[in-house]
Amino acid sequence: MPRTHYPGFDVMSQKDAWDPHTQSVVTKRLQVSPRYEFLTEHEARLIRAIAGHLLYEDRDEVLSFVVAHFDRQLHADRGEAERELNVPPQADLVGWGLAAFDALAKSLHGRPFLECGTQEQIDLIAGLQRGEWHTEGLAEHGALPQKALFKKLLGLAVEAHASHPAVWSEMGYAGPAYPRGYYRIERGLTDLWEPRRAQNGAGVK
Amino acid sequence: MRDNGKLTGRGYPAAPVGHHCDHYAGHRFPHLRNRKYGRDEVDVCIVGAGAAGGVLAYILSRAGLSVVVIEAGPFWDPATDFASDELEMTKLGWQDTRLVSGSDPLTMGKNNSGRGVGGGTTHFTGVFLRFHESDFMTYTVDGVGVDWPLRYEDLAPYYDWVERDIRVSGPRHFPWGPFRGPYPFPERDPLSANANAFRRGCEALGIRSTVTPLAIVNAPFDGRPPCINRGFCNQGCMPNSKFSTLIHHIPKAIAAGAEVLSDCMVTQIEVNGQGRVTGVVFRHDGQEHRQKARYVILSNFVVETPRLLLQSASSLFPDGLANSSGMVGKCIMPHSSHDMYALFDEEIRLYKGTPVLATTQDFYETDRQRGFARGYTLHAHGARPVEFAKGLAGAGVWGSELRAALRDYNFYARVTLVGEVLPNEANCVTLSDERDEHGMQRAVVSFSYGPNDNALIQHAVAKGNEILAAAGGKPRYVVPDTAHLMGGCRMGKDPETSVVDADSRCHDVPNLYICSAAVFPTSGGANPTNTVMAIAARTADRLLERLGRLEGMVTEAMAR
Repeated sequence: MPRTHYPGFDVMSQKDAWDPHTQSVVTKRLQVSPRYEFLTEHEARLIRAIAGHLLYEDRDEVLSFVVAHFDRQLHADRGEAERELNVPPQADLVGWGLAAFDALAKSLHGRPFLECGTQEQIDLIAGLQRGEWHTEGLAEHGALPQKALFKKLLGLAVEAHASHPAVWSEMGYAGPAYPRGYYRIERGLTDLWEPRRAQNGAGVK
Repeated sequence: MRDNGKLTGRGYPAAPVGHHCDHYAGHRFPHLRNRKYGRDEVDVCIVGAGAAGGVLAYILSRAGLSVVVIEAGPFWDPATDFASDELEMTKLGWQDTRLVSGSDPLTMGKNNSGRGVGGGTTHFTGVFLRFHESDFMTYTVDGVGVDWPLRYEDLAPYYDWVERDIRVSGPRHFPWGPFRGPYPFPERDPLSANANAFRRGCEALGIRSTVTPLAIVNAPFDGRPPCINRGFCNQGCMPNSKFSTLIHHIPKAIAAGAEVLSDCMVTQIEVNGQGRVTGVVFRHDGQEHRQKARYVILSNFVVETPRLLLQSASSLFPDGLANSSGMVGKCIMPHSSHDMYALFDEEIRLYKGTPVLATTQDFYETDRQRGFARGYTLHAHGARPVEFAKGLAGAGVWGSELRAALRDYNFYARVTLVGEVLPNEANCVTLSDERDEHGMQRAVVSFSYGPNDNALIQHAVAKGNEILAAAGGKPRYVVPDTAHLMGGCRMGKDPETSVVDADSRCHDVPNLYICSAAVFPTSGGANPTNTVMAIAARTADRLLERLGRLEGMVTEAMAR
């Protein structure tokens, strides 16, 4: 499929029109520290691979920010708003879950997750979403709350991904607009600095 | 002045946000050593500086009472603490972990609660609807739920006052319910492409729609500029065009003498041997403090109020404070709030403009032919990238399908449901054995939809999709979601089946009040903030009357 309806649009070209706080918040996403506070190197590689499948994403800089977001959320742990009864706190859930990815991959395919083929990796994630794996024997914790783990991984991955300017540009999202504002908001109108659909790439599906 | 984002314009440290003790201009402190009422017994201590707490503080301090407001979260400065960014602004929701259970466990945080001065009003969409007459008597009219101890007519003057006080903008004629307009400020213009699609779809189907009444000014008011349609209502308004108690009622209350403490978590309500409240215990920076008060008003919302009452059990009140009915924490209700997304051939650009600009309440009242009681509101509702992507993910979409949907983001339109949910005692807030950093037991929030709720949702989702299809869209995704939270300490005439009376005063404890959406006996099918604020204005008025201050300020103002 074509990657975007707006080839050539870069939302960061507009950043000088944003307020300083927003500029600093968004710009930081492009300069991710390679060091982790919470994740081990192996866990970070696992998250990068899993998030790549969850998001159908292969750009290094985008996935680096996604992994960094996991690391920051799990390290600072300012609360997770809601957690289902009998599901461990998110840092424990993710730590346990990532170990289970390897254990599951070994029991299914005889090798750790990162050494599995692409389709094997995707099928393993899909099984987790459906909660269909038998995980009782994999660790001393008992049965893994598979659906809760899937939901947590997908939620963290998606909120980071949809916050990356490269993804905004691709979506044709014109971005922050303070103090400038949007003025031509009616049907069919665009402000001059918004992305325009490529002439030849018009139409969806 | 600005130093790499470390300092705000006024020189306070930006993170963590400062002025924990804020009582008069030029005398704001990032600590609690310069308290105004630290040693005094104040007239009123209000817990929570949200929609209700802000209005209460404003009216009571202007009437001359000594008022302390204690807020668990920060005192935001919109200019430097807010950003045009969804991920960054997650902090406006109550992020502390709540345990959730039931067959439809709730999403908490930004979905239904706020943290910091302004509470949920910092991140609500600004939709400002009244409840209808039938909402106050669902049992009498439809044989479901319970009747309120109030009727619409009791709240009408307070709705009038609130809407005028904050200059609600709305249509000259509103087609539903007892109030048909006009609103203090004219309706919003122009409409976004998403609102336009909604209205075209409604028109084609013979459904009436209107421009939404909003607590967002469309002309200069009170030093605030009109809305610039940047679209970040749910992330904190930076131009201050959207009303919040953070920028409206709280500063005015401070000017009238109220003291506002931020980053202070109330952990206990103290009671004397006569069963009267004497004040509250709160924690700041790991230190315990006390505030003595003649009256305590709990405006800390549907989860934290029951949690605090249950946590404040004592020998006099073994089942929790104000809980002789056993109803503390019971009958919590969200609104069902499913999102319907449809794909269009033309660009809609869901990010542009105030998120909600068009609404229908044609399905608000009970229609027996539909096979369920009560009804709902539908809104055209914008969505930004994170909300869009997370919503789809919540519906189970991931991988290449999710990516394709992101690519087509600009071609999606969205309709959002605000549906009534009937009260059920099994839907409740209780305490878990797990404790938070203050040593308080974490709340367990249990929720499951009932059969009537599910039948309503099914009808509303079909209707939303019909509207989108009639406008030329192809319905693609339905995202199950909830919004708002009501109940848990309901008001009623009978002390055996309710927690507070019609004046928001606890049946069991004469100087303890509960004033927030927690007192709603039923949820209504419309956004609740207007009703929360009208109840707060009425509560303040009734308290002033009780204290012998003549007629109450609001009724007096309305009479003029």
